[in-house]
Amino acid sequence: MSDSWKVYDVELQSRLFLGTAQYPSPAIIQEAIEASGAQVLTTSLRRQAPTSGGGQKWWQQLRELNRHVLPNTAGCRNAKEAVTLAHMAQELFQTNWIKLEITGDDYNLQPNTLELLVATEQLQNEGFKVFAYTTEDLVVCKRLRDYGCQVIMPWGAPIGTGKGLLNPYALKTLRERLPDISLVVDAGIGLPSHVAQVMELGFDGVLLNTSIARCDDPTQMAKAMQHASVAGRLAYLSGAISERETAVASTPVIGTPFWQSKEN
Amino acid sequence: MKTVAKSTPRSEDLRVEIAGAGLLGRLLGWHYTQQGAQVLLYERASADNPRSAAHVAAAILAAPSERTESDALILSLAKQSLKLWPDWLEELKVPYALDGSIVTAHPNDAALLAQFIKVMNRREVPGVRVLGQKELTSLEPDLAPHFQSGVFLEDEGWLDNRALLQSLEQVCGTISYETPVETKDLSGDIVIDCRGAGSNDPNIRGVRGEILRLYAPEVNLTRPIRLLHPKYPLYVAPRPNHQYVLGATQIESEYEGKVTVRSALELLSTAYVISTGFEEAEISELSSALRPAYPDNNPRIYWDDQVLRVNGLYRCGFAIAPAIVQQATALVEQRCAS
Repeated sequence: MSDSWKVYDVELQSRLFLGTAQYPSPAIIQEAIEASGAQVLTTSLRRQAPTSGGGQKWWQQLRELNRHVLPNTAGCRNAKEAVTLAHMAQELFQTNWIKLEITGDDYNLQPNTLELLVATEQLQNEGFKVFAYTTEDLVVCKRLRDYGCQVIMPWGAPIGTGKGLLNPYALKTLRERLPDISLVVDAGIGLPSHVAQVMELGFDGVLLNTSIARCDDPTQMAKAMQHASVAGRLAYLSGAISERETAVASTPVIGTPFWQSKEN
Repeated sequence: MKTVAKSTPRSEDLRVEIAGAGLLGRLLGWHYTQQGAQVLLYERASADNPRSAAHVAAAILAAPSERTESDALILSLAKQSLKLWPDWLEELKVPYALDGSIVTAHPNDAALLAQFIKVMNRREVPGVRVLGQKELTSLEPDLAPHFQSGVFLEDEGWLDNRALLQSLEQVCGTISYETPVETKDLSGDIVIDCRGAGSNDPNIRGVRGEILRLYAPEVNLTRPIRLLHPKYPLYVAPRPNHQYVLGATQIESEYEGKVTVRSALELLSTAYVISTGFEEAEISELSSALRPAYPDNNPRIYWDDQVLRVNGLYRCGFAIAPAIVQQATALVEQRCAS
């Protein structure tokens, strides 16, 4: 079954995006990426001194992995910083893709959605293809869509917490209300079951980093996450049954002797 | 270094040329000088502005706690090295201590400490003991009172990296500063490349690290303290006379510029969280250097034609250097014998 999807004009088969931070070594990143089947890798630029080219070697290694590189603006605190970094990223990676990540709170790293909207509007107007890291706020997400952003990435929980989906209701609402937008849950995932849950909700993809990079065996976990994404996606496409309060026998009751039902 | 010396060929005519006068270059130079060889070291940096990772490093001997990130190989090299360091350091008159180290976290980050203990157990790291608040403060009374628990790692310690480099300078042969070389241009009987991140090995990358040195007369910490933190996992390492090294950031960048404001803030915050006595400390230095690393972050020792290349000591240079020196000199010996 072909179940590819598109982010902007690029067709993808895998439903996973991988962050590239916090791995024990570049060699393990490579193994984990292969095990996950991920086709999109995101990397931060801000601390690598992009103006001096200090991160060249690292970025070169990333390019050599032959995946789509999605530069991000992690570490930026306002629209202006993010826009500047987006321009540098465009030059470095020859891409119009930019994952806008603007921190609004230092401790839970909650995205600053106000600054995000400002930066998204400007960059979309300049021809960038914005991947917007945001909270699950429907109104913000609708505005991002109005600015032409086609990939919206609400958090599942704060970055690195591994708590899974704290607000499945809001995520479900986003899916229902933004049917034509690529929705990718970004941050807060800890387990394959969380990934499956995201995909069961009909989301288009999941971005993972800490849950793989910081576990004991990143390569194995990457594979587990990949299986979970496939499982969840297939479940979504299968049209799951609705929950109900009373049991329904799965074996036919026709032919059950009538005195058994009389016992009730 | 007597253990190695016995079996290495002695020759007063032997010329050893070493590219790079960082930790490894100097230790290897010392080894061959003891053999009676003529040792020449070439260093791209100037004597008064060293650029080696060894000069900047906090020089904690902390392979067990690094096991969360590093390969089992590093731990075994560190174990061998720990047997060699005391004799070497005594001989070179370098301050050091092997009284263990402490890993702790702010109560808000208790989950990180739990995760650390879990990984230590699962990877069967020896010499790990969980500490309650009382034990913690009895080991290090100057730790801030908010730390409620921690971990003691008995096989860890620190050494005074600058005293070591200085002391080695007297005994490692002749160092030519401001002399960048290509190993193909060297003609010694033995040529060793220890240029670290300055090497032109395409597989080597530099990983930027930044440190802060403080003079804190009010603080008396005797062991390295590692603070687990979701964003800034940093540590403080003691030095004689109330000097402390705080380190080190880890950035996938080969930028060799000065320490950034953000990194300085992270380092200073770490100091402040570890002990409030650091409030009135004097900032004596902010420095950065590049750690040399291969893609798997493990060291490599190999013959490249006539040149022995030794590189990639990454985060644990001081913890594993003696074992690396032994292996490197054993390789040379093998080749000389055949």
